Amino acid sequence: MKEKNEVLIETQLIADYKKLYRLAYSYVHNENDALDIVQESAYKAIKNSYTLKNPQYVGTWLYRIVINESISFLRKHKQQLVELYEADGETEDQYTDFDLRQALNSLDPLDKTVVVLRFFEGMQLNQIAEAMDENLNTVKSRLYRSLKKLKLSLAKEGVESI
Amino acid sequence: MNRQEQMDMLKQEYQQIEVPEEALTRLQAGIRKAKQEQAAKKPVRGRHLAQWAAAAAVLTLVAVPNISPRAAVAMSDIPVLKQVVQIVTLHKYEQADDSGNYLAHVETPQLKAQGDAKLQSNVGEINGQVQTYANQMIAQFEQEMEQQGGVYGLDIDYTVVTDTDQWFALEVNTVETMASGVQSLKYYNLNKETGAYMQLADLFPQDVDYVAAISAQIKEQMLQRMAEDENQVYFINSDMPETDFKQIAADQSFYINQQGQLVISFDEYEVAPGSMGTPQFIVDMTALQKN
Repeated sequence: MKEKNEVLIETQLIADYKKLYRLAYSYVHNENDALDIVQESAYKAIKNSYTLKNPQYVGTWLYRIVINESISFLRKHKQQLVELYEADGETEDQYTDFDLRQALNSLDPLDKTVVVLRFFEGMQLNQIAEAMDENLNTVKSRLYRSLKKLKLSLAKEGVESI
Repeated sequence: MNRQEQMDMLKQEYQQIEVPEEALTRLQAGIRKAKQEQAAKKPVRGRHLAQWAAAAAVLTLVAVPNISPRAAVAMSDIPVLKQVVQIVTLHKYEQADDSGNYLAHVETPQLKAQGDAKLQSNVGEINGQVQTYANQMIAQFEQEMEQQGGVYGLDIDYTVVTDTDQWFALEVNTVETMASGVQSLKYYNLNKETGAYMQLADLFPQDVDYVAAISAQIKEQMLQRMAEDENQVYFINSDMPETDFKQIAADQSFYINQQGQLVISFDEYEVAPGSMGTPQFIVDMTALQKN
């Protein structure tokens, strides 16, 4: 069973490495840290392959590891990152009226995770709950709270259709 | 630019985040490190199986170390007349290409029977079927690997799901991983008392329409499960009636469980969305067996 999980996880890691990298990047906004997170996540995934109970969820299970790694990284490097992000923001923000980007990045990391997974990755709320190891209602309230802060209309974003 | 357009723009930006080539090599470095650490700690099992799989082809009469402790007990303690089916050895195939995009891990058992000639010949039949199936899958894998340009994982292993005085059931579990995984389960059921290799139809008197009766029971269970748990979804009464579950196949996958109950098994996507895995239903067959 253990070996079997390992093969499954390894295959999924390789199939999804771009997605996993982008997800990590969305937290840290720089290549080196995103690469560190990807490497560490792959290491932990294989090391903990026996904790994957349902092989069906291997995809979301890997997301969960990357999310946890990214968020613990942010906690450790909070101060440095604020500076980095400010520098980053100046060079990349070509749209002066682009206040949504700022609003998004100022969200609580877990709230932001829900927005990224829902709208950028196109995941369903129940998959997001699985990936974040939270219950569905918590995920929903994170989403509503975030959309309110981002001043996005709920209906338009298809929240009602979920 | 309104909020919505900004959101679309952010989405596009996200999807266009450039992924450096190093991301793959770093990911593989993480995998390698974890595997090395595990290999250092690993007990003998996985490592030496391949070696004695080769040896066992010659040593048919020698009791090769048992995979199943249960079978070991069966061999030593039980009177000679008892019908015993056990796994004597296994065939193992492992393959990976340099890119790591193609990975195969196939373990298939070699069964051996002690008992009457019928049981022995049926065990031989099952051994042949399992091996033929595994070889087909391996050939397909090797063909995919030759073409390159994708990702393909093949993982086959087995479990003895039932071993009672009367029944022996072997499960062969296949997971194919491409973009996402597809799982399928195959079962081989032996009646140890009669030596018969059981097909689903053999369980019922000839004049019983078991397909209709079992299908009706399964539909009822699907509806009940969906009513009790909103996370359960089966293809039944859906918006697309043409894809709804209608009835089981005459040779639907099944096994007899440890309690002697009939379990009907479906492959992933056969009667439910992939998130439901490989659904199984215990069917009451007593009603069907009486005339």
